[in-house]
Amino acid sequence: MSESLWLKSAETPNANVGSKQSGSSTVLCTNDHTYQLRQVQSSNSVFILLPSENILEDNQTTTPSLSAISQCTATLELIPSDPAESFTMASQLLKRSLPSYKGTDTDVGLGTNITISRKYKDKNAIFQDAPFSTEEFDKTWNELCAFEVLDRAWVPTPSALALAWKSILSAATVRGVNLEKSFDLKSLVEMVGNDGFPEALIIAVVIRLASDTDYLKDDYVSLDRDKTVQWVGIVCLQKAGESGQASTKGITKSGFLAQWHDLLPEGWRKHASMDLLKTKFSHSDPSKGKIIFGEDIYDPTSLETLPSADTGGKTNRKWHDKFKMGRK
Amino acid sequence: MPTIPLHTSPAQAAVTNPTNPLPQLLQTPSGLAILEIQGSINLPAASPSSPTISIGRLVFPDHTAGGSPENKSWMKRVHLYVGQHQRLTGEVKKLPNPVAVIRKRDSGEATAEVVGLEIAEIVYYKVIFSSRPEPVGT
Repeated sequence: MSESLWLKSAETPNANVGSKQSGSSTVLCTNDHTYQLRQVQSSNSVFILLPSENILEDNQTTTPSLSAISQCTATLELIPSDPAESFTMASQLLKRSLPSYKGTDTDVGLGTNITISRKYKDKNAIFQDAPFSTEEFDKTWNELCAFEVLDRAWVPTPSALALAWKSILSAATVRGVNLEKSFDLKSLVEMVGNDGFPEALIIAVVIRLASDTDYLKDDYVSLDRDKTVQWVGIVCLQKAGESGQASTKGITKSGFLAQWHDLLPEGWRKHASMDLLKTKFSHSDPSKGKIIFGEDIYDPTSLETLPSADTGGKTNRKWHDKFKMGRK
Repeated sequence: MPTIPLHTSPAQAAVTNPTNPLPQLLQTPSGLAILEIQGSINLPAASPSSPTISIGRLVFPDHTAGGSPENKSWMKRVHLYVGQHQRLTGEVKKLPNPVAVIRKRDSGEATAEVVGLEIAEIVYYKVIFSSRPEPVGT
């Protein structure tokens, strides 16, 4: 059998991702699951026995016997992680440890500045330090449309995603490509590439929205309608909470719906409905009817009680930290 | 490196072990078994001439070699004779969760490279002694 288990831990104890997770940050991963490890001490003497041969007093005959080859003072217990929680923690980790791609102004190719370039890592290096299974990590990676250029990994900001998507949409319109049907990925990427977005980002967006995982079959790809409509809505919402002062943050519902409609292929506009974004938004300024993406809403039943702020490593968390402070 | 491979099977096939004296149920492919004592065994210091110290005998009084695998009543009673005058009474218990015995992988070569860990065996039963020792005559 091949290697299929991995013991992983976050890079440093401080990088411990979960605010809820206490104690050991070491996990055991299969390809698709993550298990927390809990060390259980025992006051009993636990011996590992191995059959051996006991030489009798006459030095001739032997009898089968057992030898204690090891004594264990503690065992490690595996506790399955909740996949939803793993996803939340993995996306926090990626957002925190990867530089943000903010749009075509962000230089992804010529970062020769040595002091800056030390923080750049490729996907694999990030994965090595991430206490999650391959599948969970990849899922999060795809979900965030993270991408690599010249062995450096980036996470696009919501406004960069909105711009990239807009660019895909307009390129498709200009060239008469119908995004509601299957299309040639390569030529789409070429068309959009002229707008200055890294190809890898465009591909990441398409993978995020592709209707099946077999997306590159014959170079043709089709987007999933429901995924696309919802994703565009979420990106617009996130974008609304991304910049500016707390007081000006957010977007009115009608303004938001207009933006959302604009960013959808024509035939899919009628599918945009607030129901798709249930639990995804919160009211930043209820008196003005402003809404905002509420990333930290874990509990779909309560929009009001946001969980208390994560205490660990929030220096890079930009917009939604500001947002939280604005709420206080 | 914070990622360490844990190999699910040993690098080297288990060498042919000496005869395993345990009841069939407790036998594992590699021969490893778990024995637990609520307490500890006081051992004399090991001498270089005899690195192993004989503790005593493990006896399964109700177990018969040819017994039906369905009949598990023998599991209720196990004796561990410690030295000449003491006896512990215990039982064979199925572990609530199987236990993987993990060890460092022996790469077979003298390399400093991390080769990771491997699961040497998965054990499902243990022999547990949780009562006080009783005196016995020789």
